[in-house]
Formats: sequence, structure tokens, C-alpha cells
Amino acid sequence: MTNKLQLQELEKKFGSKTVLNKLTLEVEEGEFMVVLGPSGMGKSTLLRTVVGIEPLDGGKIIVDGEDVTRLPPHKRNIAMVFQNYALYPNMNVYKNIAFPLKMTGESRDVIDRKVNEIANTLKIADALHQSVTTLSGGQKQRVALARALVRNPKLFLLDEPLSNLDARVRYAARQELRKLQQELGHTFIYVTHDQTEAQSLADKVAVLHNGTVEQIGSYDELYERPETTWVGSFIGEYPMNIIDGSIIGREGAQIGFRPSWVNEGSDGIQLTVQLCQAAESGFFIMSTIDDKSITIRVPGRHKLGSTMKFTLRRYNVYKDNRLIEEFGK
Amino acid sequence: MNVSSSWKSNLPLYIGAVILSIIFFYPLYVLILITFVPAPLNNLSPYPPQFPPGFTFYNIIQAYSALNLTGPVVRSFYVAMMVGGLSLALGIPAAYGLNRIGVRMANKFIIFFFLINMMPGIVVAIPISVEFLKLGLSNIYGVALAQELVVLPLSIFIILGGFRALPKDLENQARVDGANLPTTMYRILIPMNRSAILVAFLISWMTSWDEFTYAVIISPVRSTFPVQLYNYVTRAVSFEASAFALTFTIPVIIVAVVLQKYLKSQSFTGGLSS
Amino acid sequence: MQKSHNLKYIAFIIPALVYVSALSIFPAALSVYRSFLTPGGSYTFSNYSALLHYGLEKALIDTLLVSIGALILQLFLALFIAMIMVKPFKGNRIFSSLVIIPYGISTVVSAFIFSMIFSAVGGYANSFIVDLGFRPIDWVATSSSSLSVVVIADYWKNTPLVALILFSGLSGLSPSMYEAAKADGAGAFRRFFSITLPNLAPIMAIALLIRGVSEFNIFALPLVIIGYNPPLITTLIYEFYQTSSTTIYYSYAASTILLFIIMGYASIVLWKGGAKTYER
Repeated sequence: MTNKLQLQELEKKFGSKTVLNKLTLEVEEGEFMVVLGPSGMGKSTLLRTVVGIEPLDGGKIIVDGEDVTRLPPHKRNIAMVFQNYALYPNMNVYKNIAFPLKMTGESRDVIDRKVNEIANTLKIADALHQSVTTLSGGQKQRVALARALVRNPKLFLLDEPLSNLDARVRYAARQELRKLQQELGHTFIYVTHDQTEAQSLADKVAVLHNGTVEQIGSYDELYERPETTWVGSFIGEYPMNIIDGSIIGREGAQIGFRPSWVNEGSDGIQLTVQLCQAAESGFFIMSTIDDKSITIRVPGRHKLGSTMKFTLRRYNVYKDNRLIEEFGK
Repeated sequence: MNVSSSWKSNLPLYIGAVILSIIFFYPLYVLILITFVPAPLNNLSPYPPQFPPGFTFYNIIQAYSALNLTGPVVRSFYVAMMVGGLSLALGIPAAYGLNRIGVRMANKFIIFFFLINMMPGIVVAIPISVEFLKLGLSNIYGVALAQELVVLPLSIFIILGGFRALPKDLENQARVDGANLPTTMYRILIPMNRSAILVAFLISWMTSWDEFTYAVIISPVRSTFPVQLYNYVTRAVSFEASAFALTFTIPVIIVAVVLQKYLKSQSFTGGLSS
Repeated sequence: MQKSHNLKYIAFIIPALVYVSALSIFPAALSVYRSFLTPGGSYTFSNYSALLHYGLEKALIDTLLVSIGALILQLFLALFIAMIMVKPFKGNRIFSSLVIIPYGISTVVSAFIFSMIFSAVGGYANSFIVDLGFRPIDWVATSSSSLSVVVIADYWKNTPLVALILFSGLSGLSPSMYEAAKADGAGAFRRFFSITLPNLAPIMAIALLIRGVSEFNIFALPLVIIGYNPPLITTLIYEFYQTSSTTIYYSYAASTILLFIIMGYASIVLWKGGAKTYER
């Protein structure tokens, strides 16, 4: 089976700033791919080049085995939901959803049937003849989604579609989106900077850093086995602790470990408690070793300023910031 | 200072406002006076009275029956429509392009357009008229083509302001939804920017309705309303001319009222962006 | 690729650019070129020397006088009007719309009205003067009184625009600035000269640029009110244009001179105004 989408060495510059640096990525049919990265790392630019509204400086975009790099956006048959939803304010909900079908020249009956169908699926049938300016944030997001889904495109691109919703709506919308994608079996590429979204939505997460995909895999893989120190410190509620290898006798390497990968003991690495934070799973102790801040999780509370010792139950070994060995897994 | 300030403290303000109002209204008052005061007591008497000694519609009726108004009115209307239409035909694409090329480069083009706009009308009009004569354009069509020069920069500027106020992703969304550029223009960008486009059209319309220099130089005969009025004034048929002038002013007031409804404060500054 | 992307959008601007160039830059260049030609087509400076013979100097000086006179009157009165317009008082709206009316009145109509007010016989200005017990004035008898009438008509027609521009500048000034000055004990005059005027300077430069260029091109008003006597630079050009196929070459020469004066004026104001804006 060929992949749904192949991005080959995409390059994009804005002036002297390189935004996409030989970015390569493959997405399988029916996959929910989340592209995760900090703000300003070219996530939106990536989607814009794939959909065709931003020209590339180099590279190839292949959809269903067909090279679409030089096609204008309206000939690519890729749908995109923009961050602000970009609903047409001069049209009502019905006309917004019908617009892509009109563009493909569908008959009025077909349009009517499809619009009603998708409106039922997304529970916005009641609002069909409302002006889009009167909708709530959640409704707007559904309308934008309906407009993208209605014409059955090859690929869906979503640019932080939930970031404009307030927290409670966002949680429900996330569940729904995932369910919808699984039911319909569409291929989704979803861009976000929010790790919880990546965690709960993605089949696979691609971590974007410096204009290229630094690592790709399930969220758990990224968490357990970050291939670079950067991914390690980016993924997770607390960044992975990175300390100099000489501390445990691995000269010339770096050691990375998660806060939970330690055992408290009477010997091992010593630290002074600078902050002790209670959580459901125990107590998070924050401190510094060689001017590097570290966080470990232990079962018991410790006083501020007291010293304690811990050993590593498990750790990853990095050389020049790349993973070379896993230990204690 | 607030609205409820006493009359006394505002007295100099009111005196100033009243004096200025009188100064600015007086000429219009004179026009009304000449039009509606019975003939020997208006400007035909050596020292006409400042307050109306009588009232008549005779002057207006006389003017309408003695002077041929329809021709110039219809021609002026045509020309104004053509100028307005040309403003949109040239202005909408130009404003669209300017909105897409980036603010810095766009500003350079805008400055160029406005510098061109400073070119003295009469300096440009005479060679145009000589060339148009050869092309058979010494008529109202030639006048419309030339008048477009006066209004195009401002039209582009106003429409550009409108485009800049639209969310950028709307156009992208339409392209993604399968619309090509012309369809995107026609279905999304133009309807969304219609108030700025209307303002540009009406301003072009009004400017053309009022324009004299190009009209008199390019088409001195069978021309527009202002040229006709000028001819009547030089033939010294004054009170008919004043009735004529009053007629001429009414459409402008109507257009201005419509314009005011759509005019937003950013209409003239929207195209400005740093 | 980014470049070609931009080129695509520049293509949308090209029709407007071509239009403006074909009907504006090209004719202006033609004017300059033909000003050095005889009707026969050989090169000459005689068109320029003929202009001196036909009173170019006086026309230029008169144009300058009218422009300066109208500009000063406009700026002064417009500032006055704008300062009343920003004050919130009862009747503000009526006042604002009343003083704006003249701008909506067509130039030819306003010229006509003022020719009615200032005609020697049957003029409303003279009837007012006679009512006060003075002798009537023949407004078009001397060139200075003729020009004064043009200045007055022009100021009536165009002050509203300047007032609007200044008004937008004044309403942009923050009230807190005035309150601070008041607290510092600055009186009304002091506030006007050290806050209002300097802050208004850039926008006044814009008003000066827009109006100054138009003042120099003033055509319909003098043509309707005083005809060709005394001539201003534009009416002189128009008269040459109308007279014969030889004198049209004089009008090209005079046009060229007018063109350069306008360009000079515009660059001075832009440069000065621009410098002021940068200083802020």
C-alpha cells in the first residue's frame, strides 16, 4: 500500500529565515497524524504549503501517488480548517457548508442532501439558516469542520482548530473529533502546540523542530524513548532531566531520565531540595545539579533546604544530543 | 469640558460657531435667494435686498422651459457612471494585488499613484485633448477616460483599506474549498468588501459629476453639466443659471447622504499601514 | 519562487499603472517635449520667450498671491473650525454639517454663486456695502480686487476639507496631555502653542501639500468668476490653448513651467513634512 501523503525534503524560506528545512514526512491512509511543536516552528507554514496557499522553495508533495507540488490549491482536493475557522461572514451556515460543493459543480439536490447529512452528523442541523456571525465558538468549529468534510477530500489538514475554544468545550470537542475521524476513516493531519491534544488524538505524533521532523512515533514512544535531548525536554509535563554522564561514570555522554525513573536511597546522587510539590502520584522535588534544573518524583515529602540522595532505576544515554543506548528498561 | 457646561462659559464658543455658520451658509442662501425671489427684486435690481421680499417658482419654471437641461444631465450621469465603473474595474484588481505583495512594496506603489495624482489637470488635459481629437474621443467618453485619472488613486486606496481589514484566511479558505481566483474574487472578496467598494464608486461618481477642467478642455461642446453651466454663466443668463445650479446640487447631496451611511472613519486611512 | 509569487500579484496592479502612465505621464512628457517645438516641428526656445511677452511673470505672481492668500485664510479658519468641532457642545452636529456643506457644492456652482455676490451691479456684496452707507465697489475693475474675490470663493469651497483634515488630527490628540499641561499651570494660549500646534504639524503638512498643489492648479473658479483678466497661470494656458494652433505651443511651454513648480513644491513639503514625522 502506498502512503496517503508523502512530503519529500520540503524547503521554505521567509527572507533569510529558514522555516522548513528539508522536511520529510509520510502519512498513512486513515491515520490521525498530529504535528507537534512550539509556536513559531513552521507548523502552520507546513500545512499551508501542503494545501497550496504558500508556495514552496523546494521539495515534493505527493498525494495518493500523484505529485501535486505545482497544482493550485483548488485542484489539490485537500481540505483545511484554519485556526480562526475562516467562515464566510457574508453567507449563512448552510451556504458556508455548501460552498465547496458548489465549486465542484454538484447539482442542487446533491448539495442539499450532503449538507443536511453532514449537519446531522455534527449536530448543527438546527443552526443551518443562522448567520455565522451569531454562532458560538464551538458551533463555528463544527461548521468549519462540516465545510471541510462535506466534499470528501483526500486529506484533512487542521490548524490548531480547538485553540479558540474555552477549556470545557475544548475537551468535549477533542473527544468528538477523534470519534468522528475513526468512524469516517479519513486521513487527518492536525497541527498543535498542545501536548494533551497530541496525547489524546494522535495515532502518530511528528515533533517539529528547526523546520524538520525531529522524531515521529506514538506519544508514548516519544515520552519513553526520545531520540534527541530536545524531544526529551519538549515532551512530557515535566521535561526530561538531562545531566552530565560523568555523574554516574559515563564520561563524554549525557544522561536523560524522567522524574519517575528514580529510587530514593541512602547513596547515589545528592541534591538539595529547593521546591517540593505534592501531586496524586507522589511528591515532585525540584533542584539543580551543575546549574541544570532537575525534577524527580519520590513517595515522601521533604523539607525545603534538606538534602537527599537518589539512584537511577532507568535512564537513556545521549551522545551529541542523540540517543545511543537505553538502560534499565 | 462636558456637554452640561453652562452657556456662559461656552459663550465665546457659541459666538464663534454662529459667526462661522453664517459665513459658510451665506453663499448658499444667496443661491436660494436668486432662484426664488421674483425677478426684478433679485440680482436684476442694482442693490438686491438681503431678505426675500417675495417668493416665486417662476424662475425655475422659466429655466426649465428655456434651457435644455436634459442633455447635459443625462451626459453627466453617463460620464459619472463610466468613471465610477472604471474605478472599480481598475481599482479592485489593483487593490487586490497591492494587498498581496506586502505592505512595504505596496506603499511604494501607492505613493507613486498619489504623486501622479498631483500632476496639474490642465497640463495633462491639453495634450490628452489633442491626442483624443485624433482618436475621435473628443466627446463624453474621452472625458470619462480622463476624469478617471483624478479618482483612481483614491479609489485604489479606499478599496485596499477594505481588503486589508478582511481576515487573510478567508481568501485561502476559498481557494482550499476549490474556488479558483476569479470565483474567489466574485464570491468572497468582492461581497465582503462591498462597503469600501461602494464608497470608492460613490466618491468617483461625485468627483466626476463636479469635474470641470478635463470636461471643458476635452469636450467643450455637447459636454457635461458643469461645462453647460459655465456656458450659461458666460452668456449672462443668471437667474436661470442659478435654478440650474440648484438642480445640479441636489444629486450630489443625495449621493453624499448615501455615502455618509457607508463611510467609516477608516475609509481614508485603511490603506495606510506601517 | 517567492519572487515569482509576488510578480503574479503585481500583474493585477499593471492595468492601473499602465492607465495612469498612458494618460498622465505620457501626456505630461509630450507637453514638455512639444514646448520646445515650433508648429513646423523644429526645435526652438521661442515658445518660452513668447510667454514672457504675454505676461507670464505677472500670471505667476498672481497665481502665487492667490495660492498663498487662500492657503493662509484656509489654514487659519480651518483650525478655528476644527477646534470648535472637537468641543462637545449642544449644536455641535448642526455646526459641523453646516460648515461642511460648501465642500459638497460643485466648483462651478460655487464660482457662479460668488460671481453673483461680487458682481458690480446687482451683487449682494455691494448691496450690503450700500446698506451700510458706503460707495459700491467695482470688484472686477482692478486685478487685486478680482484676485481677492477668487481667494474668497476658493476659501469658501475648500476650507471644509482642510477643517476635516485638521479635525481628524485634533481628535487624535490625547486629552491627558492637556490635563497634564493644565495641572502644570499652562494657560489656554500656552496650551495651544506648545501642545496643539506642534502636535498638529505633521497633519498640517499633509493639508498644505494637498491644498497647495490644488491652489496652484486653480482653474474653474477664476475662469468663471473673472475670466481671463487678470490671467492666472492656468487660465493663461487655457487661453493660449483656445486661441490658435500656434499659441497652443505657448500653452505647452507654460504647462511645463507649471509642472516644474508643482513638482518643486511637492518635494519641499514632502521632504519637510517627512522630516517632521520622523522626528516624532
